[in-house]
Amino acid sequence: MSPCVTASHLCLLLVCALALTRAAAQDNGPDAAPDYQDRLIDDGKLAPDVSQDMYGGNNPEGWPRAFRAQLSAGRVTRNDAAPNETGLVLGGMLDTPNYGAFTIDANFRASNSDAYGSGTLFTLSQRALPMNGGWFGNNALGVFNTPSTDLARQQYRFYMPTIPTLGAATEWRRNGDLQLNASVGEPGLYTGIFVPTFESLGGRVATGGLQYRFSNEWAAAAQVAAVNDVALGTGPSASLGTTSARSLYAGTGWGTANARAQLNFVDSAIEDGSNQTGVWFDAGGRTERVYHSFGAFYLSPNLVWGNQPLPSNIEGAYYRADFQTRRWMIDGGLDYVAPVSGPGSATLYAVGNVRYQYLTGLGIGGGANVLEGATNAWSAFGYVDYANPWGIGRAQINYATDSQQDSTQLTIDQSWNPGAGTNLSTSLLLGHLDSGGASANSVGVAVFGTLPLGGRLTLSANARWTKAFGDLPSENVLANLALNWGFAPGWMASLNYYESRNTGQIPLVVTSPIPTLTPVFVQQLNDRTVFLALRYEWRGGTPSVPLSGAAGGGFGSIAGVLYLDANDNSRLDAGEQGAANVTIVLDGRFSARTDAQGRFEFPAVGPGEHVIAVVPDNLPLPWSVAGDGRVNVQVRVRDQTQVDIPVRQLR
Amino acid sequence: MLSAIQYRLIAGAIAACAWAFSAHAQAQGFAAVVSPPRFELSVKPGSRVREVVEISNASPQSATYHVRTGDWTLGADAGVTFLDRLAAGSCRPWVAIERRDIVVPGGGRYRYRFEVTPPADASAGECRFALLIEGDEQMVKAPGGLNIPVSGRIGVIVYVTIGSAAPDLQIVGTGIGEANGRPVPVLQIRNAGNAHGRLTGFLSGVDATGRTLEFTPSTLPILPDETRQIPLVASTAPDTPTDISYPVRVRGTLEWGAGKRTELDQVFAR
Repeated sequence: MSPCVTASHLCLLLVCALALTRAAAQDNGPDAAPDYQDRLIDDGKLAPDVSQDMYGGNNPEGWPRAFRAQLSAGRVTRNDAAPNETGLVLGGMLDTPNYGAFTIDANFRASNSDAYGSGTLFTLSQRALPMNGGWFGNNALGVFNTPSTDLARQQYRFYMPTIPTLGAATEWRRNGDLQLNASVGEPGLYTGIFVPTFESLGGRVATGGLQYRFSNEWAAAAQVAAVNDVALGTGPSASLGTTSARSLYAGTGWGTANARAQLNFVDSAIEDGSNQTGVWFDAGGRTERVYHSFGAFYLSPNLVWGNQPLPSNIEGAYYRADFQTRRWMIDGGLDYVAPVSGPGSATLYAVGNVRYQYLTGLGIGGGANVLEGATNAWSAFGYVDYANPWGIGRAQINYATDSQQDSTQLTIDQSWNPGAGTNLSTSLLLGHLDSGGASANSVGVAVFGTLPLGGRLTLSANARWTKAFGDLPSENVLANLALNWGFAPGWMASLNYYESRNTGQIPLVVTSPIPTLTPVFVQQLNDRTVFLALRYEWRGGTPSVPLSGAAGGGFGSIAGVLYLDANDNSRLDAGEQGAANVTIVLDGRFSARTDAQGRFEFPAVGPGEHVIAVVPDNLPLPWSVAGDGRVNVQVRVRDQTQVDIPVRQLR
Repeated sequence: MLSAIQYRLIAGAIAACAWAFSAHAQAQGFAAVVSPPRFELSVKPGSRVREVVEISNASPQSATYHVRTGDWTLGADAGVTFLDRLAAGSCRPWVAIERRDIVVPGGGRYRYRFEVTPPADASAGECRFALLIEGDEQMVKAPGGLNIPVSGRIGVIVYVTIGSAAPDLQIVGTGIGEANGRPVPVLQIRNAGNAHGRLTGFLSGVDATGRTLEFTPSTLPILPDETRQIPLVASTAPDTPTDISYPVRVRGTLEWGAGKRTELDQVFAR
């Protein structure tokens, strides 16, 4: 049998940490001096398998502080070009008792590519600045995403964007009842391949917001954004000209433990004088076991938020229902969408999913989607989840069809239990495609895992390969490999390889016609990158004052992966990609950024209940975090809590 | 069995625990993180099984840890008591550990190896022991000016099934007990087998108000030759415990061991 590998198991009853006084031990007579000596493997001559110090420096005096520097150099092969990129990433943190936590990020990138150029990024932020009267402030100087009120951010179906800006921002919050925010600066875009930097679009942006909670149930918010003379694109798109616009968001929300409702209004005026309006209503409520969500929307054409597009030219309604017991999970819904003006026709979309847990280690499920409108399509899937002596497996079959193609795919997933410090998932894929009178069969494999190669060397891999044979031959590769070597205290060298190659059709996926916010994330289909990074981390200060904890209260840690949950099973499977470069905030105070494989970690966190929030600004659309992006996490002293957070596509 | 003085000493140690950790900053503390918290292994007599426990040091300073094995007992309240001395019938002589003292660098991780080799003539059964990971003693100033040394300790429980050993769980009684301050149905479970077992499964019921409830059996281990009270915690939605209006009829299938099942259809009344 395999060892249990997750700290969340209820093994804790059998794992205790006691502080024993020597006095007690002495009174305890023979127990103080054990009369049994353990045997040693190879007479105690096994070579230690131990990692290097994670941090350079070990000065425990002073406030908690940290510094990191990473130098990277790499080469990208993309669309017949092969630019080089060299970058330097600097970061630091200082947690003060009276002025909040300061973080600084500075990125420098040099590239020989005309398309990506060179660039910089600098941000100084201060979180949770305590003030009298129950106020806390968050401030940022440099590059940031414009702040928003909670009501504007916490959307169920439509996501209010924020604007990447170079400037200054401030946000004040009082005891959960009042929020104020403002920002001013120059809008822009994040650019770069390994090292994100900022490219200005010129012009100006100013935003401001206010939210007030009238009671435990009711809150209202207003947020404004104004942009002037902001370019509509850079590089080849610079010729598109500039835009100036004013946008207003107003919303009111009501919520109890079991129900919520929110009414949202957006008005935007572009410089040509056209005034556009959007209004949408979302509500939800729980009966004993069913959660109902429903809403309606009217969004006129050409709605914008500053220089960012909003879903536009649609009206319609939706309904969702989720029923859940320990054994059953059933959800279903209907979406109706029609254009407000111009060509196009109404579209109806229906979705349903069911899962039944027959035994603790055996579950079965399936679902279907139907789309009727200008395009008719449907898809269905079925699966079985099963615990086996090696871990957890899943066999799933998917079928999808529209007027042009039929595709069938069988996937066998297995999450293995290979032992402490190691994780491994694999997938086997078999598929068949009929399209335009031609057909192809395909086969593929995927692997995701981390393998310690001795105490100082670790290999991480997330790779997927599929090949199609027949009338429609193709080969798709998606690989992300990282070899990390901790070679000296605080030092880490890593060699990363990424390849994305797609020579065939992208599989048909039937999804809701309710549009996502901004242009759909365009996956780079022909990329090959290799980069080498050298990193140094230093940490000092008193470690027993953990993040969001009290001095002397002990601490645990939180680690996890933010991943794109392609099969919506809330489990990280082989072939599922991590979401990179996304900010994760702990208790609204401390932030970490996911790495290229979606990993994040808070190494010292006070025990108790904490909230991890995913700031979805950099999530690739149409992916979004379930709910409000917050996950409650229980941290235990000297324990590591693993939190893998899925992001999903709206179905 | 523990003597009365041992009970008092253990109680004293637990009471000292909160106070000792409140002095964490002074003492620089015990910052070991150990994974996994439990092992469930199996091995044939005469064969060897080797495993790795990861010991991480969450503090930025290097730390020395002392590792040894111990026997343990599980109390009626599910509390664990570790015993340093070799208990009667202990299988610790079959266990070999990597070394007794290790140094883990600040923020570092040590993959610590241990192995179990039951003799070829070992009969089917279960070898149970703990790996005890202790920090160096730290001096902590107590009220009144006394300097008292304390040390942190983590125990990792290891179960090793020898040969064909397996649990044999039987329901020998039912009743009403208490869990988390709530009166809950309980099952008296006897383990007539020679390896520990745990109950899982899906149970549902209808209480006196007509509400449909789900019941989750506690996953406490039931050791061989032991009878243990297993509470059935009620919920209306997953992971939301609720009170019960008695009487309540509970039905469903209990799962345990390797694919073993026991049907339950029982009325619980106060």
